Amino acid sequence: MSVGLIAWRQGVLVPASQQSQKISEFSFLEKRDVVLITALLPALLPFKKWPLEDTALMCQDLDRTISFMTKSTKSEIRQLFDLFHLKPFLWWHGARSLDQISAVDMSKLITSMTSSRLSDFKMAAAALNEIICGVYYANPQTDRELSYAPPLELV
Amino acid sequence: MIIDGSKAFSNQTLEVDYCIIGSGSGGAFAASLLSEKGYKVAIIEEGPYQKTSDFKDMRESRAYPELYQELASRKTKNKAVNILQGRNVGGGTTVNWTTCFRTPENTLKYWRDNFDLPFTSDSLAHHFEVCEKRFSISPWEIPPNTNNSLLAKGMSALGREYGHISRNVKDCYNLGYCGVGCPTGAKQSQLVTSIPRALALGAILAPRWRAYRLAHQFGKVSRLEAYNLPGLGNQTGEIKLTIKAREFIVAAGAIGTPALLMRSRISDASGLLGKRTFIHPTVISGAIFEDEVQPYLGAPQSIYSDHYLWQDYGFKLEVPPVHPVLLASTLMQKGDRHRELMLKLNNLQVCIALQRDGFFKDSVGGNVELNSHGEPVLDYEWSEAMGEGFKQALLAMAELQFAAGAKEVLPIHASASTCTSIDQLSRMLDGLSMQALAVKVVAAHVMGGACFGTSEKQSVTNLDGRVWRYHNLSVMDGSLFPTSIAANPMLSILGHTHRIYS
Repeated sequence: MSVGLIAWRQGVLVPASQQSQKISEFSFLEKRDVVLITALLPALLPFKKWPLEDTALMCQDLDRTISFMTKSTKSEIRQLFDLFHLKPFLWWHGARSLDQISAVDMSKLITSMTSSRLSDFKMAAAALNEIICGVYYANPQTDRELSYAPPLELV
Repeated sequence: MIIDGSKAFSNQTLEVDYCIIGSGSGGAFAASLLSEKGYKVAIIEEGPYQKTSDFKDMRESRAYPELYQELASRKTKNKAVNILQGRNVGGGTTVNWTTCFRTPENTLKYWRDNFDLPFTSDSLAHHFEVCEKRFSISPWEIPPNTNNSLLAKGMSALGREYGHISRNVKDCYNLGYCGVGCPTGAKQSQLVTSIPRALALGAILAPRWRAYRLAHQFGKVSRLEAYNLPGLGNQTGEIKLTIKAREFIVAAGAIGTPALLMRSRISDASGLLGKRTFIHPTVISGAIFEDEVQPYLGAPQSIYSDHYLWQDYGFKLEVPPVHPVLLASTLMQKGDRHRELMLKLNNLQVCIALQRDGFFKDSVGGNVELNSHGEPVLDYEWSEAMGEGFKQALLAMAELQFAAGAKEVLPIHASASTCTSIDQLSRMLDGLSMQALAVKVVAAHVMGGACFGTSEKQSVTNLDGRVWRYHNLSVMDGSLFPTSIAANPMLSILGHTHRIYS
């Protein structure tokens, strides 16, 4: 995948395309995590296309969500993301690298984790699905897609 | 007076009569009762002090990070159970679904027979009556929403009993957003009842401070040490709040209370501190109906059924409010299948079965442990027999959903698919594993871990919640219960708080 528009600034990753200040700097995600999330989104949320800008917004929401978590939860999420950065893990599941994996192969990889005998893999697959879907549907813009009547703000 | 830890910039020390840790049903109610008696009380709370006006957007994305433990995604050690717990001023009462039950007589009888506890429905009746009056608890007179009425319809079609739930509300707008903080102030949570009452009587409220340790010597606690939580996050800051008091009451919930006592190295002759922690493990069944259900609108819980409650591994049937984030993070399907189910939100009816927990030899509950960061984690696993109970519950829920007219039913399970008949579903259930991470299990009630009793060898506290061998240390929350309540526990906690502190 291309992270051409995502650049390093002062040691933190920022989506460089967002000059209008819509995107803030990340506190948790690293550059390689963005590659992972870019590969995960078309597999876990396959019903829409994921242009770079939407991916960057999703990364921002995810980073903000993780920033609220406890130290131990953050370190577990770090372990979870790092699992995908282990080459042998990807090779074992038939993938060469995260920036070349297709949505279909990523989906297969997650399915094989779900049906694995190792509870750590099951856990990891469930956690990824929960985090990514939870963050996506927390965005009020998805309300209309679900025909969910958004709450009327009380004055 | 309010001392907000998120805005603190220097260390502080307070001296009061009572230091109360936690502001949920037990802590806040005790604070108001003690303030009424003229004591100087300080209440310390990890979560923020948000008011009714802060809840007007009714958004899950705002509420979960601000009002719940770990963004409403707290999990057991093996990640098999999602635990919904409040973390704000008012605790669980700010975000619960307003369901009120007195402690069932069968539970009290089990406690009498097995733990030598003297409580009966009659002996507690006065305390429950006072709480019901004080917190406007009464049967909900408005017709139930569709989600609830389908539970009633299904049970009725099967000729099985169901009942109407009492709620702690006053002039409720019937909106359905109780779980993200009541936007009208109708819910008579501790946030709008006991907390303002205690503050008006001179209590000190200290939100956004994390209680770290109780300093004690020779059976007497001298002070509480707490650290601030800057901003909205979960990282402890370095600014310290010290509270010196004559009495200390720990009411931080059944995970937080044992954790604080363990971090403080409180002596426990029974070996039960942090042990026998129960959760009402809850399994879920979704059903698609032809007509719209809109399961997010209207009073979240108004119908229940105890038809199956007192059978082996019995369960209480209720329904949850279903909002997008809650649904998205509950479904175990992935990709297109997940999306397909999300798009059916408007036609979705959901039932939950809350398992009775702690009433059998193999139902020993979980253990609260401290991780390397000093944070509590609940190690909880269920037995094979309880897994069979999950299966029975999923079948019973599907049966009533089909009886109510469901087109399709989906047990929330990693390997389940939607079924169009009860026979098909029954066959599918036979082949499904009920092991951890296969079936979705959630919990909103945590109880036990510092149980009361009549002997220091078999309990952590005496019947009044006083920790054995300590002159001035008490527990006042769901930790006191030696099993799960087998009903939503808020009124049980309030009743015992009144029994002890009135």
